Amino acid sequence: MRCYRCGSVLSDSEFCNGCGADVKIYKKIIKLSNTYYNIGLEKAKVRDLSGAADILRRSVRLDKKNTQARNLLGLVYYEMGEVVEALSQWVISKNIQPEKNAADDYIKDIQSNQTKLESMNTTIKKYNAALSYAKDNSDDLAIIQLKKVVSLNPRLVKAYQLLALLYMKRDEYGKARKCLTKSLAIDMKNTLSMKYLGEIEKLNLVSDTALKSESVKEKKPLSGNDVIIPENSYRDVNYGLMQFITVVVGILIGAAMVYFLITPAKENNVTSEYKETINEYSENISKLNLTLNELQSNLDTLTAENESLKASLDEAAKIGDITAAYTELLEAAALYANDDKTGCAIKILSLGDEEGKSEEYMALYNALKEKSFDDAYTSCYNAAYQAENSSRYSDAIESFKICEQLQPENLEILYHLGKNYVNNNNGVVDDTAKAYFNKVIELGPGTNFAGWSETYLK
Amino acid sequence: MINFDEEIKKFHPSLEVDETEDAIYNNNITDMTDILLSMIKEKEEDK
Repeated sequence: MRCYRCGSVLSDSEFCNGCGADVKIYKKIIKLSNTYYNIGLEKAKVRDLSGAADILRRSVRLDKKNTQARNLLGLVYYEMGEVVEALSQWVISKNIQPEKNAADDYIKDIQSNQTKLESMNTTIKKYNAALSYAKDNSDDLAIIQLKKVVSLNPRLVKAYQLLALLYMKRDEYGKARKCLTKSLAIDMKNTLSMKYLGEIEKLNLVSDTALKSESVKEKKPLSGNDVIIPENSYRDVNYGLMQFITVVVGILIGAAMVYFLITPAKENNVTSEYKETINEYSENISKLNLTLNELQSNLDTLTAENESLKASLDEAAKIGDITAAYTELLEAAALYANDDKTGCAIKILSLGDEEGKSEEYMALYNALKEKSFDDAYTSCYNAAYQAENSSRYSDAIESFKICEQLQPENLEILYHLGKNYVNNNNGVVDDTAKAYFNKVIELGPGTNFAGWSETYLK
Repeated sequence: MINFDEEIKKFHPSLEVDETEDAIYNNNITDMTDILLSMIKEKEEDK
């Protein structure tokens, strides 16, 4: 204990040793505050919370710096569900004594759990709303709100008391008794709760007595005007559990519906879709097959036409060849008519294949051949020798080749052809010359031409 | 017998968390020692 004036530690004396101030009454006030604190602590230990709160309020009114009493008062308020009141006391306590103060921990504990603080705030708001409904005689709404409040904040004593009062107004004494019992479990000697409970007990005694007296009297038989009211067996239901069960049952029913109703229908839809797709593809395949057959038929037709056209073309070509041959023959005849027997013979030689020609054609062909070949041979032979003698070997080869066509197996012509090829090739016996020499040897073995040929071949 | 109307008057609204600050500021923490000190001061001034 310190002096209120100079702060010195006070002794047992009635005056301060430091400044001499009269501290007699001051010390009494401080001691009384501490005494009240002790009493409040004892009450709080036996859960007489409202009694403890009353005593502790007196303690802090005597000495505001009694932080122990103020902290305990805050705890009592907190236990009764009055969070704001508790917080106020702790904040004031911290302001008075900033260092080494338990209120610091209490405040931090509340502030650290914001969710719980919000929940408490919600319950306070609902309580205030319920009180407003009750004052406006809206008992049902007030009861609904109060039920939520006590479920969220099971330590709010006055919520239980107000709820019990409302039940008692509706003669629901059983429910009122339950609420009051719960409130007394928190605040054991709360006078208001005990008063209400006493009233309920009185009413119960009265009703028991009335029942007993009634049972002694004879019971009247029931008449037509008597109304029988069945006993109300309504009980409080655990709404949370019911909700959970309802949700679970709903989920199970939904799952069963999906399995038995929706899934088969979906499967049927999928199957029918597949079938339709398959049918569509089958139709397309059939159409394609038809088209393929048509195309094949067209191809066959076109191939036959092509063959026919080819035959016609060959026929036309043959006719063309024959026409050309007739023209060549007429030209040969014209050359003979102009006394160019060599030219006529050459033309006759160029005609080639006589197959397919008419009789008239062959008659003229043979006549011209007979009349022109000998003279043509002589003329070409003389020209060839002149060219050979003049060393014009290539000219000589040309003339000798015509002679070879007119007389193919003439040894002299064949030998001179070989010889002129050698001379034209600077004396080299090439394959062409060799062929001619071999032919001479083959056709006239033992002849002079064969011997000369053999000489070239060595 | 409980009179509901009389009883309901005993119930007062609780302070909400938002009102904590106002409650602390408006809290009259003048205690007996403050009164005693003011009385001593007055007495000394009279002297």
